[in-house]
Amino acid sequence: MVLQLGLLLLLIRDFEIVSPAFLKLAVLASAGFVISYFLPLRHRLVFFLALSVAGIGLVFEMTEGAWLIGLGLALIGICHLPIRFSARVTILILAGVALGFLRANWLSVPWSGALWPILGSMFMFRLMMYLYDLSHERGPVSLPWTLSYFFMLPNVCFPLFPLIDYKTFRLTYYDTEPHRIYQTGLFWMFRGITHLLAYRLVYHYLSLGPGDVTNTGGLIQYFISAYLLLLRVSGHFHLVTGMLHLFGFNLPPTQHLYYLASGFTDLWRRNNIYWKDFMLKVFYYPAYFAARRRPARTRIVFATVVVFVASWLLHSYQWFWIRGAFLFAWNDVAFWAILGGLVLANSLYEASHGKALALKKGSWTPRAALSLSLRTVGTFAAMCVLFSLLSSASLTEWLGLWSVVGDLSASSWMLLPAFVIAAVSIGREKGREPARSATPDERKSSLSQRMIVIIGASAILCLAANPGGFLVLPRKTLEAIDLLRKERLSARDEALIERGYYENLLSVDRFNNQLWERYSPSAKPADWESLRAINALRQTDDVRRYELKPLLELPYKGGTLRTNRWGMRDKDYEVTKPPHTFRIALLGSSYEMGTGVENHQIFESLLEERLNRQVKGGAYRAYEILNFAVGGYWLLDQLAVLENKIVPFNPDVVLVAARAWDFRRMIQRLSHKGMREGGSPYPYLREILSKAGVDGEMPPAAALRRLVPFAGEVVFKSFVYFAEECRRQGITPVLLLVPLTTESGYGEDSAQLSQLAAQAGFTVLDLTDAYDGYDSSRIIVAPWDTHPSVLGHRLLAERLYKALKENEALSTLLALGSSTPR
Amino acid sequence: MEEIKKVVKEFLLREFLPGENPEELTDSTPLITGGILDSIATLKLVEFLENKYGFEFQPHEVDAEHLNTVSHIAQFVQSKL
Repeated sequence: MVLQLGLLLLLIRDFEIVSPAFLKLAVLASAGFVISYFLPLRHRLVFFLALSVAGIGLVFEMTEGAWLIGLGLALIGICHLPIRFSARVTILILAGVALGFLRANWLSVPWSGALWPILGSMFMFRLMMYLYDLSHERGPVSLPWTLSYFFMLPNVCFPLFPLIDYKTFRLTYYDTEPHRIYQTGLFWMFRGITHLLAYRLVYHYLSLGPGDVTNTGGLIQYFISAYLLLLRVSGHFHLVTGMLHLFGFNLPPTQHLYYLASGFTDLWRRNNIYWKDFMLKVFYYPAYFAARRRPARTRIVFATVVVFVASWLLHSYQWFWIRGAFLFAWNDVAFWAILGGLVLANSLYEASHGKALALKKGSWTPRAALSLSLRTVGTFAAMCVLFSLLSSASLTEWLGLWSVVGDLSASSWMLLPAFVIAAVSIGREKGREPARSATPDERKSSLSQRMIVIIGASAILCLAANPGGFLVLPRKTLEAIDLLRKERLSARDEALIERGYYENLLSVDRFNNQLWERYSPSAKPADWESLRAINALRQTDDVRRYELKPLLELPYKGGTLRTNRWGMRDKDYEVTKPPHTFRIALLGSSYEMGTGVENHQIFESLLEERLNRQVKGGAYRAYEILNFAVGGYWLLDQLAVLENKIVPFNPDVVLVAARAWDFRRMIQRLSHKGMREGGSPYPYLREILSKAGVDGEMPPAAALRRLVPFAGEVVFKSFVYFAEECRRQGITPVLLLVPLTTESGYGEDSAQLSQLAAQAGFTVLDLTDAYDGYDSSRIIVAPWDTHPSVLGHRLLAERLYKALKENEALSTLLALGSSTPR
Repeated sequence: MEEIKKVVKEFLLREFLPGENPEELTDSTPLITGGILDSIATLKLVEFLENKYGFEFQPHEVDAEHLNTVSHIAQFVQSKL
């Protein structure tokens, strides 16, 4: 068991499972498990409680931890006041409302904002369960049980926590052989890790933004990926319940093969089983018995409606405690209404016709397997569509997705048969699945199999994470493993992927800086803020919308943001170019603006210094590189910079920095309502918008969807316009293909970008190999910020200098090899 | 008690497990945690017990603690009579 636990810890470390704080907690839990194993049974619960409190201390600072425990104790204390039960409930509701006002920031509180999601996850539902059981139990209350229930060990690292039933929590404690419980826990933890790794694969390779859905195949992919992203929830829940097993809590499974549900009631029983049990206990049965005198069908309808209305409201309530605001969206209403309707129809059918149940594994027949496959496919397909509804930003956006139905490109058809074949196969497998194993021999064999699976698969995964000299893997495989190693944003624009209800709750630390600091050892400083937040921008009345204010000197992302009198992040320059000076203008976005480094560390400053040191005194007396880059600017903004700001400075060359994701950024900018409402200032863009059928009223996702097929044309015509404008001004246009620091898989886009720029009349300098041989952790500013580091900029400066020298025309133009003044 | 177990077993086999070998359904076969009884089936069993033995279930009594095995069910019914 220690070997299995050690391998699981390695996986948690190597693949950065959940958060760095979770690794610390998992180490604590592992050490605690070994101690608990040897403790007499009567001491184990108190030890678990002590370990849970230590876990809180490990993640939070002492004062914060004390606040969390103090607030919790106050709420638990109310449950046990020596007054009537109804009075206790009333006081608890009032306390909840008071805390709610504080959660909504109506008043300031002396504790950190990091506390709220955890306090919420510990108490928002468990208090209901606890009170429910308290009201029906007559026995004495045990303090260690109560405190262990609310402050249970893994909770501090999981704001979205499975809803554990208090009675089940107590009744399942060491209710069978301890080794069997421990082995189950280890297996569930392993399963949780595999779910999280599978989630990362789905997120990176399958998930699409609504704007990416341009044909039926894309729509199917969008639906499937929306449902598969639920793997992250089941991954977290398995880790939580698995860890609790290590301390004797033989809890039931939280999710059980939910993608293989063969009907909606079956799904309701398999997916988030703890939620289903909570709903049955607190809402369904009380509602059903309250309508005792009505016919059975009426009671089922009434109780099911109560359950689904409660589920909808409580999901909004959960959102409030974790995120700080109530959630109301019509697509949520539609989701719960449709799911409720489907479960109800299924329940009524089963109530009337009965359901085939069996004590033993049945024999496999083709007919039964086919029937099961079809039902499984149908349920899976319906849930994919339903989850896409829950994941969409709005009902309008989701309805807009359906406009692509009918566009059956070749790729669309490829998905359908694969889907059907996979479903039939899983149905067949499911048909063969044993109903339940019962004999001691079967149980022993099952435990051994699980142990072998954990050790074997963990060892392989650990080796894959650290191939070293042991494994020679293809580049694509290495890239996939690299993507698996960390929970990072997808290559696609985060803003375009509406990641849904659970994704938002599971990523709550991204929206809660204080919680992020607790979960990451080298935490993002609270002052790591955007240009807008530090008031470094001023509005413009052209397509750029904003520009940097002149003469700034502000702390900015670990450095100082200094701008000159022209609003460039650079030293001062005269408008008139000095004699015998070669002047270059650099256009770009946050990479080129030097986010996360100082002005003198930006690659253009390093290059300028090098040119003046090594080449000056030859053809030119001086080289100047003027940095016009501003964070958030893309090609369209750069056209405006060229026309409005650069021309008076009379540069000889304009360097336009581009990255492989520019196709997407361009159409993304164009899809913004602001870009369309007043009409684009560029005739070629107006023509493309008209051709794509995009008008000023269309929602951004729908506009984006229509613009995707025109991405190449938008970029190419922008390049042509840009190059012509440069030529008119006597400037040489050069496109710099700048590498991304962490992303991969954009090779084809880079090649296309380079080709289009060259066709449009740009000289292209490909710098995409600048970081080759360097680990991405060295060339990014910080784990939470992927802009190039000081080393990243130095490598870029060196690569750019080399590229300039290697390009004959540019080398001659810059006189890199001559010594005659022009 | 044995009589109650017999009645309960007969009902379970007739309603939910037609064609199954009666010997497979023992006094300790897990009905709820083993997935044999889902919520709809559990409510049918509750309705049967209420009608047969003339008492009323409370909502919190419909759980695995009281209904998970034939033995549990018999003990619970016995306590209500």
